[in-house]
Amino acid sequence: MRQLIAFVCINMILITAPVSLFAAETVTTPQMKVESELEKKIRTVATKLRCPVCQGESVYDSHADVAVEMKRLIGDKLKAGESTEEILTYFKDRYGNFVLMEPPAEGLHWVIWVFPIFMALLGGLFLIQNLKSGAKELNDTKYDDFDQDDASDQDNSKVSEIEELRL
Amino acid sequence: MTTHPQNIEPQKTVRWWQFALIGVMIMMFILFAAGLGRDTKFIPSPLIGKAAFNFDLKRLGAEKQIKLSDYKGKIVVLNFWASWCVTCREEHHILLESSKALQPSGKVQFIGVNSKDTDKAAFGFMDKRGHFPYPSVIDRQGRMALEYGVYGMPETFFINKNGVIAAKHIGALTHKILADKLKQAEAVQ
Amino acid sequence: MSGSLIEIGLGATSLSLIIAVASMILAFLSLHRGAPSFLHAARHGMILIAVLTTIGCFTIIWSFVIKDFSVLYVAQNSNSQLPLLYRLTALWGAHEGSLMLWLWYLATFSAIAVFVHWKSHPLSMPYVIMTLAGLQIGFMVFILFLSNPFIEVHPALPDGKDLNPLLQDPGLAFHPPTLYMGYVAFSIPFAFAIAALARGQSGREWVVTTRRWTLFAWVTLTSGILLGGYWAYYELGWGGYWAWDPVENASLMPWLTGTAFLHSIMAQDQRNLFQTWNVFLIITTFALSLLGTFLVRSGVLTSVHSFAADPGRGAYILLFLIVVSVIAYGLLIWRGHRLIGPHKVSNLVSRESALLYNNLLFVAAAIIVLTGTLYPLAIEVLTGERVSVAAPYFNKVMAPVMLGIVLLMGIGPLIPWRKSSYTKMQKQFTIPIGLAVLISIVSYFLGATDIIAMIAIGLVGFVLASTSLDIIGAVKAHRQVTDRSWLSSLSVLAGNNQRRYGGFIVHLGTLVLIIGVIGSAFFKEESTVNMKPGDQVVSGPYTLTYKTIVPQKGPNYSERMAFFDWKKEDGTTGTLTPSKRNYPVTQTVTTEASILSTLVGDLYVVLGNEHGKGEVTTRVFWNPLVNWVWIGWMIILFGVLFAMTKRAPKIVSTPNKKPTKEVLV
Repeated sequence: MRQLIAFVCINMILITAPVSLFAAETVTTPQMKVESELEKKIRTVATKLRCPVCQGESVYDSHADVAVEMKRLIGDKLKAGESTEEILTYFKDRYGNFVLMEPPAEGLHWVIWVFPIFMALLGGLFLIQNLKSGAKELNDTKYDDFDQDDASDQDNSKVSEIEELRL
Repeated sequence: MTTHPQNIEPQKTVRWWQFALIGVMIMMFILFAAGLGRDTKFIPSPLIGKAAFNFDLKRLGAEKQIKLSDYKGKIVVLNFWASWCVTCREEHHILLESSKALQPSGKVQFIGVNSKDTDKAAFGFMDKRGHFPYPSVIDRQGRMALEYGVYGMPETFFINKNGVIAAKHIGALTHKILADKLKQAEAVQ
Repeated sequence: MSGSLIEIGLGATSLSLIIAVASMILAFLSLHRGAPSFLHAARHGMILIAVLTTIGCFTIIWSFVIKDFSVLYVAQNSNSQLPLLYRLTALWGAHEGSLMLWLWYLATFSAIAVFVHWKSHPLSMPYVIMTLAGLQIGFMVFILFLSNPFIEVHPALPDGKDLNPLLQDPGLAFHPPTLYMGYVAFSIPFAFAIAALARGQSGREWVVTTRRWTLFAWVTLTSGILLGGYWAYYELGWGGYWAWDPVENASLMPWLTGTAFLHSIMAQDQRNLFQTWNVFLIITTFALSLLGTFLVRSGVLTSVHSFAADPGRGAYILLFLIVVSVIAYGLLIWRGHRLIGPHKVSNLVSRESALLYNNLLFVAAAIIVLTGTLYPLAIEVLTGERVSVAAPYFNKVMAPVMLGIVLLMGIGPLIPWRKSSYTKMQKQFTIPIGLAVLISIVSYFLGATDIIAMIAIGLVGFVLASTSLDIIGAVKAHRQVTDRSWLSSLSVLAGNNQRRYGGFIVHLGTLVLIIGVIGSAFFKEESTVNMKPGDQVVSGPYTLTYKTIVPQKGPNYSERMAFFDWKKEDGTTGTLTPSKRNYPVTQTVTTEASILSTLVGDLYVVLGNEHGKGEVTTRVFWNPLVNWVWIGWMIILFGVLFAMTKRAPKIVSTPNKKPTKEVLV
């Protein structure tokens, strides 16, 4: 469906484009607009950059002056044939890693990328340890009342405060 | 207190999680305490120590191009300003006074960059508050500001004799900051 | 006259500080000498504090209502043109008033808790009162000496400044107080956790009491977070509702650990497992609530949402945080072992092990959010470099954790305690797994090209299928015995086990919410185009025609409003009016999105820059299913209410009485 609409729109533009070129001087005819390919490319670059004066917002999402100008510059650079990487490097060289939405996986910043994996390992280790000792308890246990509804009912720590007061 | 034999077993054994908990807490508190003391507005510029972008822009109020390289051999104080910028008003008199005091020696050159402004508004600003005794260049779109990694007005760059950015200041200047940064610009090669 | 009113507020708050100190001492002495009269006096103190802080809050609100600009806080956060609603909500428009609101919540909840649990927790009460009074003292000292909202200026200012324009919106007007309520409500289970550690005992009613308060705090925090998301959605104008902003993260962390607690407390209730762990979770949840306040208020992390940043106040909150954590975690390390029961999780596949996995995932999520949020700060302190950790990082790292949690949602509640057999599992889950795979494949052909989206859709199908099969099975069995209709069977089952079925409803709400998230995250259409009057653009099933842009005037702002006509594929039409507002007093510009909201999706239009002759950059979003996020929230609210209407069990006299099996919440 989406493709179909896009196809129709592109066709309409192709058909209307020459007309509107002629008409531009006299009166602008209403157009069916679609997002340009350039705008799409701008989005891929600008969502990777952080608006320097906002917090947490990307350049693409921000309405701040700097962000708006950055978007324009990105557009110009894309038109000049620069790659996404080159543009990101341009801003990184001037604003530092601060301007990137996520730290690059290089140098010290490996830490934040490795950390979740490290934590997953730690969690797994903890689980194995815990379940092992639990299983050991299951084997060693003197209780044979596991078929009962709740073995822990006799447990002292389940005594209520009122009862404790009476004891 | 408890009667279960199992309850006595884990007592008094120091466990790994206790150390981990204490360690994490101490680390966090040190981090926060250190974080409180810092200046949230300060953002280090990766441009410091690098060659300054050699701009070639039209001078404000004159049919003339100005290049940074025209001033090679002098320390250049490059000040980004705009008529709409409120903080720029605070540092205006400091720029006027220090440029008048420092420029005659021939060692220091001030240059303004009028960013994202109109000529009319810029002149209105200067007519009201005093004209800079040094040239300003026009950065209508703000591209020059992006080239220098500017966050917002005002920002001032200190470029040494060899055209290398030695220091940068974000926000309004004071006489003290200006003197300190100029010293840095003299020291850095 | 009005000058003296605010003085009454100041007096009442000051007096409450003295009473809090006295209550704390009295509660301590009652422990020492065992004199019940001391504890009674402390209880009266707690109730008196609630009354006094209510007076304190009221005087500030009244000063806003009568536009008394001799009160500095009023002058700084409102002006004579501000509508009454926002003058009322301006109480929490800045730092001082927010803290006062915190204190008022804390005092009110403390009084309620002491009053309600007085009889059932005679041995814990001294510790509970001491803890709550201690927390109150911490806030009162802060309010009276460092962030006083009662300060007057003489002569009175002719007019005030303005409330932060971002806050002049019904969504944000109610987001902070709901969020704070959630934060503060965690202080009650926290106090009971401290009592449990001090006594070395967490008995049966401890479970009931902490669970109820945590449930209340949790649902309030959930609402606060979602209200914030809703506000961000239509006020910030970027088409999304969650940005992984530091302030949002700060509220998410206690939510994650609180959710973990609500699950693991079941294991303590049913199997007497995880006692120390539960206390740890409650302490951590409250500590993270305080941490959230610290991060937001101190300016250590700046954010779109943070209004007042002051390092001096930051230092105090940090000190407070340190004192609270050192005492709480210190007690945990020192006496935590006393709570440990005899059992351990012994089987890889059982309800308790599912709860254990659930807890690991939730805590892992909380740790990820914490490290991601604090990483820029740590890097800056260590190396001086400034970096950003924003949405792309969190989306990548959190996605697998969240998928794991959704998977568990479809398994955990349905498997028995202690042990499940392979054949039983096979019987239970074969159909849901098949269905999940099928849905994933179908979703691929419907346009879900993202692997995460496919898995998520499959998992949602899995959980829905396995849960419904389970409920259908139960209803079937019930009908065989009782011969009722399907509906009445279900209602009897649900009524008999409100916590379990309340939990199912909450899970259902969560699933609906997740459906909304999947739809709006993976199937969003977005286009940015320059439009002249008459131009059209297609978004989702809609065609949007740009008509014109006109200047307009509001009560305390001026705006440029654009008019767009929309037409749906089926022929229905209407108008959208996005605008850009300029608030002259604070010199801020806000973008007002205009949204056509339907159950299928939202058509969302925001204005960018104008280029003269009516030409304007327009961002148009088609956000499918986004409304289901808010519908899911409603279902969650209902589920929690359903679970909470179950009355707390009366104190049982025989320790052998069996508690209800299979409890979910």
